[in-house]
Amino acid sequence: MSSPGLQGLRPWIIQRVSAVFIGVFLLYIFVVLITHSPLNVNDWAEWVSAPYNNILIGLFLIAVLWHAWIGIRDIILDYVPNVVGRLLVLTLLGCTLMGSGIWGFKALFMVFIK
Amino acid sequence: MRFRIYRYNPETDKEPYMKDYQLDNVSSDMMLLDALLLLKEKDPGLGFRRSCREGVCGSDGMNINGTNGLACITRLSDLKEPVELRPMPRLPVIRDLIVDMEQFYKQYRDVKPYLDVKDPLPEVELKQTPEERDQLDGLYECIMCGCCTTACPSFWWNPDKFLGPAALLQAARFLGDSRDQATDERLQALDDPFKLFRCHTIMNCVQVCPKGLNPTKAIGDIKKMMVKKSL
Repeated sequence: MSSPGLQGLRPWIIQRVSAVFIGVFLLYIFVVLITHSPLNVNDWAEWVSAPYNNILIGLFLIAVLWHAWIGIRDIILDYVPNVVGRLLVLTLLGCTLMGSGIWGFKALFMVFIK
Repeated sequence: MRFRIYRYNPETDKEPYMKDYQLDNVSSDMMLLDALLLLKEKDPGLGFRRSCREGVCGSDGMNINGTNGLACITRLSDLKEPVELRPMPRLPVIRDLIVDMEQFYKQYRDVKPYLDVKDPLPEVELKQTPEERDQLDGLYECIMCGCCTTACPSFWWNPDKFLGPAALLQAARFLGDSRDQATDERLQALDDPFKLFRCHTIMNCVQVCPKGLNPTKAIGDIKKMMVKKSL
């Protein structure tokens, strides 16, 4: 086994499970958009603030970030042969995804402060 | 028939170059290896490996018009002119079409391609039922020519870390053998970001295998075994 985050089977399974979740969730959103159309901002905020939807969107964010980390990590492992360069790019990717995650969860939380 | 052949002699050439050849009186039933042997009569310096000349030994693997294959079972009539011959990609060239296969053999050794039996060995041979033996079909026939591994982009990117389709086919062959008792150790050894999981099912290996084997499926089967074991 390698260092945490650089394993073989676990990321492979997570990537597939997250892909299924992302696919099902997008289908759900698509159905919501069609059945609730036309949606204005207030309707949308109300929909997002429902606990069930809020938790689902939070899980979706985690799934997307995790899926992206594993997918881009794989590309980096393929194309960046230099260990230092690889670590640097992986760190940059980790920070970008973490920042995106914080931004996403902040937006999700903001719905409750209105 | 026209040929363009990769030439490189590290003792005399600064850089590799492509040399043009012309071969007359080519008959339609000739194989590429027959043509190479005739060309070698004209130019004795031309280097390539060959042995059984019938697709069994796997010595004459080379890149033929951009696709890896065995010269001895490739019909000249199926090839577009000029026939461009290069050494198999991503392995160090020793001379002309001869490559250094050490990396390839190291990968093979890494998967421990032999039965690991923990129980005391019986007086007679280790037996299998016909059904158990059938599980090895499509796995044991590999002739280790290197066509698949050197056609794999994941091998080009990480030749020292990714085991490559040929070695992974052998790993599947011993994982699938009812007589082997090291399944857990074998799967554990492959659970690494590089050795197995660099395979992105590109399937160049399946396309070029001269024996018609399917290393991609074998790799998929190993992943399935890993998932089953982890549950």
